[in-house]
Amino acid sequence: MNLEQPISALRSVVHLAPPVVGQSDGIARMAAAIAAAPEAGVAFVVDDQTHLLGVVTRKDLDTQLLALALPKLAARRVDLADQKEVWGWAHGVDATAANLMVGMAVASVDEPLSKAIERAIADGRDVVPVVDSDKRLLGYISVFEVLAAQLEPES
Amino acid sequence: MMETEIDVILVDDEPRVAAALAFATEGTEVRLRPVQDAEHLWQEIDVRLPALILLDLQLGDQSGLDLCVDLRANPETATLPILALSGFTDPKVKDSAFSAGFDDYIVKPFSPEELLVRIRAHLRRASGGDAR
Repeated sequence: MNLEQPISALRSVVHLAPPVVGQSDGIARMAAAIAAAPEAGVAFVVDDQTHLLGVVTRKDLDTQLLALALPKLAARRVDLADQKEVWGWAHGVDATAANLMVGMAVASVDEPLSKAIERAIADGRDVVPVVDSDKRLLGYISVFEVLAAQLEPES
Repeated sequence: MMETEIDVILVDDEPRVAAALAFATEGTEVRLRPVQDAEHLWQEIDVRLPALILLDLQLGDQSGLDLCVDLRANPETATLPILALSGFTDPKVKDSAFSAGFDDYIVKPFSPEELLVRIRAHLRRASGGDAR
């Protein structure tokens, strides 16, 4: 795999049509989205036109779920957590994707795969979302899968 | 239409899925006709019978399962390959899909290669082993 090729020429690396959530969706929808694509580790948040707005990370959602299932443990954890986690925990069962959403670097189909991977690594993410020319979410690329594929001999 | 082209109707109410399928099939022999609901599916079938149908299980207020049952009950579409597209991984949902008459079940997110492999395999089977 030549990482300098555009993503559009390396389509097999893109996981297409992942589950998404809207900004007003609650904790159950977010959990279902992450469970449906656990390797992504995030729930993609989109608007009505399926433009990518951000992501909810599994770590942030875990804090929410912990607060619901084991509140005492969650309270102890919050003592050690940063301010963002405290803020997220306080939403409890009423948490929405808009409350928990954070930004994420994206890749367009026309740019080299190497640039997308570099951006994901710089962003501290395991995946990078891929959008089309209209900024609609097409899918995501796993950094691990791309790097691991570099070990495979060229066929 | 070229003889080697594969005419596929995609039924999904989310435009992003149609965009993803277009991305997956660009430059291949697959020609997509995306529609968003049952009404437009039947209209497209009247225009031309496709080689295969990709059908989302959740079409807004409609059920992809019910639509598949309707397609199987129609003599014109009874034997068409119909593949389910779904975000559900629950085996019970998959069982319901196969019981409704789906030939295969593709879980979202999916890889472009997997989608194409399955489309081609079902068309080979439908045509008695003749790879189109």
